[in-house]
Amino acid sequence: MAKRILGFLKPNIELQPWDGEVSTLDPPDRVILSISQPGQMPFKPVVEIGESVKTGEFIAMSPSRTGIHSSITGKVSAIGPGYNREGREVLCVTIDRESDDDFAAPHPVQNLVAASRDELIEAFAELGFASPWKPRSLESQLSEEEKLPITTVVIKAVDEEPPLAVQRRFLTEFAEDFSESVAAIRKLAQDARVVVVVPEEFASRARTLLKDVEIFPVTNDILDCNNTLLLLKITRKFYPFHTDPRADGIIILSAEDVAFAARCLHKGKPRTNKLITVSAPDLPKPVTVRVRLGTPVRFVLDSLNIQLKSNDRVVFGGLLTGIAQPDIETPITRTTNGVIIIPKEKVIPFSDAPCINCGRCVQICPVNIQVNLVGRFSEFGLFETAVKNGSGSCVECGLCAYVCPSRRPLMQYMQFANSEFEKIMNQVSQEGV
Amino acid sequence: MERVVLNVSMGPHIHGGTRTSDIMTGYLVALAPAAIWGCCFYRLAGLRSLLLAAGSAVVFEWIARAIMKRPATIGDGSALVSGLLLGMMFPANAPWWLILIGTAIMVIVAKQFFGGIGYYPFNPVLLGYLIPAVSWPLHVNPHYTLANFQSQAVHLEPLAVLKSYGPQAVDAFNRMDLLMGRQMGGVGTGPILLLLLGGLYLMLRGYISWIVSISFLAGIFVFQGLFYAADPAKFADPVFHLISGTTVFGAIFLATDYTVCPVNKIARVIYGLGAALMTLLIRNLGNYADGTVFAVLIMNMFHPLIDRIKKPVYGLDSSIPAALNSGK
Repeated sequence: MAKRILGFLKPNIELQPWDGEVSTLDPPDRVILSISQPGQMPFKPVVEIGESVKTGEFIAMSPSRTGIHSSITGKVSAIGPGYNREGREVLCVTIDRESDDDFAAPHPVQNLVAASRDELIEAFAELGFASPWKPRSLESQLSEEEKLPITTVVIKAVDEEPPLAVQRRFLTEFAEDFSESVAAIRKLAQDARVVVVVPEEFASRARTLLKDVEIFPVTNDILDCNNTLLLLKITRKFYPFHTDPRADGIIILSAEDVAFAARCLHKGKPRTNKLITVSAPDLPKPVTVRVRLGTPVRFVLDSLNIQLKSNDRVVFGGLLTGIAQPDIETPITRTTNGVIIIPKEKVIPFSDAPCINCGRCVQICPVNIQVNLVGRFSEFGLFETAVKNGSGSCVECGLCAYVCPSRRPLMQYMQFANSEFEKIMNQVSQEGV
Repeated sequence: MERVVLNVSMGPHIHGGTRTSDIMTGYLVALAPAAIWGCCFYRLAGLRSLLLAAGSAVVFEWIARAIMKRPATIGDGSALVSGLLLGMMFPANAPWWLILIGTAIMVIVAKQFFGGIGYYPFNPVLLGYLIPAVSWPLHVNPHYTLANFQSQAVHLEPLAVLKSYGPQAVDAFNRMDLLMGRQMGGVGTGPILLLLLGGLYLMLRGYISWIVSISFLAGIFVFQGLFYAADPAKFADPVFHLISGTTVFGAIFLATDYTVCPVNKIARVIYGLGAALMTLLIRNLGNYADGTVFAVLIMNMFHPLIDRIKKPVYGLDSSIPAALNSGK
């Protein structure tokens, strides 16, 4: 896939067009919903073990009235620690399905465009869409009333890497919901910039569909869809991993979140679904299905008749930066865009083989990190040197490891250096106090 | 569903496909024409040198890794390639002990002492050649080693003739003969055309940096052009320097060794030009007839320094290249 001409490496990993409609899977027999995120204040569970919940009922709430809703009708069977897809411990509520969906009382907002701004904020908050306007980070929870001024809202209607075909669909299959939500967001955002990132081929369609917003067309090249690089092009400012664009009032929303907002507000039912692209050797082509939030991946695979064998790999996310899961009970969350099954034979072994200094990673790095050096600094524990040489600028595209002939896990070396350096800095600042 | 054990490891979950061993296979393919030519030209003596060097390099590598209790690395093919390169640099009739000492120094001292592929500070092939060459200069001198050797070739090493008798003497060499390899030297350093063919293959496959090779050859041409323009009576013309001795062999196979070569583009140009200039200074003003090996070794030493000439990292030093900053 990478073109090699006279030693010039050109990454040519592109998003593929999709075919086929979205199909909906039956509700699973059990969902696992995480109600906390690492580094953030957990939501407070408002249900107890053994309690029956309806679809769309609150199971956990934050002080700012946003909450997490049950995605099926059933009985709470456990509240306790679980693991998110990065392997970090989070608080989870497990619900066993008992009957068909029995929806909690709906509060529909009929006309999104006509509704007032406060009405919209209220409605969004009640449905769990408050995060953009009331950031959920710890600091902002403490001073509840201080809302950050929003300067830019970026709505991404592009997928990040193959084989995902989720976010791009919202300009075609769910265009009405999407355009209505964008109009509402345009209103909510007041003077702020609203930028909708769309694939090139949908640019003209988007221009006719969406009014008063900037349309930002991108190609199918994965580097064009990278979050950090996109923000750089849109805002002219570079936000690598350790910086939070929200501090500058920049919000990134996925097209799916945006489109579901309209749909949910109309029906008055909270969001219980997630679209995911499933790719497996058993399937002739990747398919995109609608599943309930919190569905264990086992259920998704069973429904699609995908047989797992020992030593296969189950990846959440895309092919480049997706994370392999140790457990087939791992639930689908709002940020899971895809599930990829990689058969045992196609698993790529990574190694601690030494860097041979070929320079492919340096040629391919979109932000000019000298990956060969920084990777070695990180490997041998020189985290500070690694950060000084730019590991903190990594945009996590995964291309360095994609081209590495020694098959070194270069992207992970960058992340490792960054996180270790952060730990050291935290320690230093604590000791300083 | 029965219990399945999943394979968990980090992404990316796809790979471009090139492995270290692919690169080394590429080297073998590129070296094959010149090596086969060497075996035909020098017959059994050439074949013996190549087999001895390549075989002993692999054996030494295996022994060294076993003694160090490290995983064996002969599978990546780098020892085989290094051994073959070294064998091609020694003259065909070089004594067996010289070749063994060369490969032992190359693999054990120059490579494995530092940790193997990826870690050595100097190209092991160069050290494996130079240490015996400096210690027993007579035995690596083709005039001495090949004294009893019968062939139709001009029985002279072009650069040695240049050194001893001046530029007028080299007019005796037919340029076509030099290109086709009818010159004294190492087993495989003579056939310039075949080496260029191998180099072209490596460049097209992206296995070596064409920038280093081309800037090295261009540097030889330009700098020697300056020397020649300054005093044609004292210095040979640039084309002669390009097609004689180890110039092409060095440019394609020695200077491009990944581990001791810069990775940034401008740094690679400087590295190639620097090696060319150093080669010519040694050839024109120094004591040695062919300076390529010394020149590349000296540039190896400077490679980490040269490699500091690089594009700025985004977000570091508060510099974002203007090209990207201007957006799409």
